[in-house]
Amino acid sequence: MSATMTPDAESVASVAADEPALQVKHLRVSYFTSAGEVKAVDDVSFSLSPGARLGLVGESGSGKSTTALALMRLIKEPGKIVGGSATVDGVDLLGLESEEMRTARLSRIAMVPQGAMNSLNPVAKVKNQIIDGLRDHGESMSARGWRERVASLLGKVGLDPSVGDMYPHELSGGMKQRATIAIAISMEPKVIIADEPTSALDVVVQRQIMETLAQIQQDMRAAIVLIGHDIGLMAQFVDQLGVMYAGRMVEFGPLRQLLSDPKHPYTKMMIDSLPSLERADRPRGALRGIPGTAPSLYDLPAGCSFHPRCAERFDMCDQRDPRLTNVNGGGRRVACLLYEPDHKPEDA
Amino acid sequence: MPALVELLDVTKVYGGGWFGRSTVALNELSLAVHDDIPQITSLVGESGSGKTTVAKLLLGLIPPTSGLALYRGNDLAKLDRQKRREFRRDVQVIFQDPFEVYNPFYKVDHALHLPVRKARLAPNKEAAVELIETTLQRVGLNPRDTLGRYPHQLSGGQRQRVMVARALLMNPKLIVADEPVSMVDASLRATILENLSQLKREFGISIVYITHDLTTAYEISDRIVVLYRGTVAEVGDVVPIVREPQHPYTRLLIGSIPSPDPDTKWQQGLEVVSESVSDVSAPQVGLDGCHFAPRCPHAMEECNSAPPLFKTGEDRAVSCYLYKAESQ
Repeated sequence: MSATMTPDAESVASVAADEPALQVKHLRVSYFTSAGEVKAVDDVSFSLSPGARLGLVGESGSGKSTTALALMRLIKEPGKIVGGSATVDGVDLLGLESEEMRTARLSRIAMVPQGAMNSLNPVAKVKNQIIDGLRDHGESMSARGWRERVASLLGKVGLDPSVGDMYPHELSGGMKQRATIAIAISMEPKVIIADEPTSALDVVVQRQIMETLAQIQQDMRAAIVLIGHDIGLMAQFVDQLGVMYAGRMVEFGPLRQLLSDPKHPYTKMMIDSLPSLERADRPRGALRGIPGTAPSLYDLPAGCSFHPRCAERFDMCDQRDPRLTNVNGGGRRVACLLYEPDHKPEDA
Repeated sequence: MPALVELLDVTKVYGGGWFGRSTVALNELSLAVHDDIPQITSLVGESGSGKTTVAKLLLGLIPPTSGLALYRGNDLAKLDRQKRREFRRDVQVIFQDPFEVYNPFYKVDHALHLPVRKARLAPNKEAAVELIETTLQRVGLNPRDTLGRYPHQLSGGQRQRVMVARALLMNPKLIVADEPVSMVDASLRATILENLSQLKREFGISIVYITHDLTTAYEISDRIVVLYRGTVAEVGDVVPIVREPQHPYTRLLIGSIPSPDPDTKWQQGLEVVSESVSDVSAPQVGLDGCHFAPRCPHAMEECNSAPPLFKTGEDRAVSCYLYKAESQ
């Protein structure tokens, strides 16, 4: 089963020519509070081919979950999407009326939420929660038809059809998460957003769920955005990685290159701080944390937001905003003055 | 010299009574923490494995249902006043959540002055302030940036370090750290783990590190106890256990950890009984045999009775009948 975890290079190459499944351009989300505007997501762009897998990583407050919510149009007051576009299948989700967006959810874009235990209705049977979404999108069929549909969806996520007649409290954490995946894929969306889908589960169950999700996503050729903070999980699952810091995308690129040759000082430090069972590059226990703390979005440092914690900063860093710049070709982008030819210090 | 703290064949049952269903949280566990050579011992297990119950027993917060919890060879439940005071100084705790352990209405100073006063660590106010300031410096905090502030004015990392300072004030021999990094970001996680290693290295304090994350346990500990549903699956030095796990559960656990190297794929062909059939999380009441047997690919007739710990090496033991033959 695990052989299917990463789409092979050939299938990725063959879909690259297709229309992207999801294209996000200059997405901006702000929260308007009494203390002023807080830019939770600031000018984030990326594009995904059908069947592609993108991971978004970052500390809490980096804007990764807000990006996910914005794509689902689920940002609540006082938050607001203030700019950009998110195109799925030629339709800009951000431009839809709220009723149209309701239809787009589940059919074009669906979300696997973080805490399955809090996202299922505790007083409804699993099958009714699956059917609810489908009915709401205008599907109707006989009782027998529904039964078969539910059984087939449950089968896809590795659950027995009898689970349909159970209530959430009768299921284990892993089974509940599988049930939420069944709901998310019920209308075969083009894009699946998975926000830390396994963070509440132990590693053995996590692996099984991720393998199931990988299998389904590959069969449906849906694009997937996996939000998380576990680089290990990302390394096993995604083929592109975006690193977010203080609301911005600071590095983006193919997973292997990004992990083996990180460019942004933040990405480098993040990788250095990972505990692991098999690091050849350092002795056991030689962990290095990132000094300082993530900045408050109310009061971002001038210039590059990361400069107060950065080991490689130079005099321009607190003055100029770094732009996401192409480096090394191959879709690698990094937002750091070290990689902007005009600003790079002579001796660096 | 008797161990600093020791659990001897401890069983802990929650609930019960006349009508209630009882849950065996911990089943005949033995564990000794010595203070002559400081060590970091990790207790690793998923939720429901009993690891937090072990922490509470070591701290004397709950009594065992059967078996003994000992402090320097004396029953924890029967310590006299003097010994009890010593115990409360020798054994300290750091909790999981650096956000919830503080009373938000008090400045952090309160959390530091209280133990100084209660344990009479300083003869007067000036000495108390000095003791607190030097202790804060020992954990890498600047007293001027820390004292006089409310908990919400400190970052998660600062709050967690104030808790470490509070434990250090008592000059303990053992610190029990219950999931100290599960609520913090990756960047801070490394720093806090480094702090724990430092406590052992520089202050000679033993640590019992409780976690669900085997990778962090591997990074910092000397010994490891792998718990599964209230029983010890495997115990011994951390490196051999991670390199060559013996218990089928330990093997499954290690094989399931996602590697940050994309070329090291999730271990192939890992035998596992599907979760959707077997993952009914409540431990069954009165389960006599090996608790892992329902998920174990090697389960056999013998597994219907609980396996004892078979010694499979110098300071290493595993509770699995597969190792019955080679036990020494």
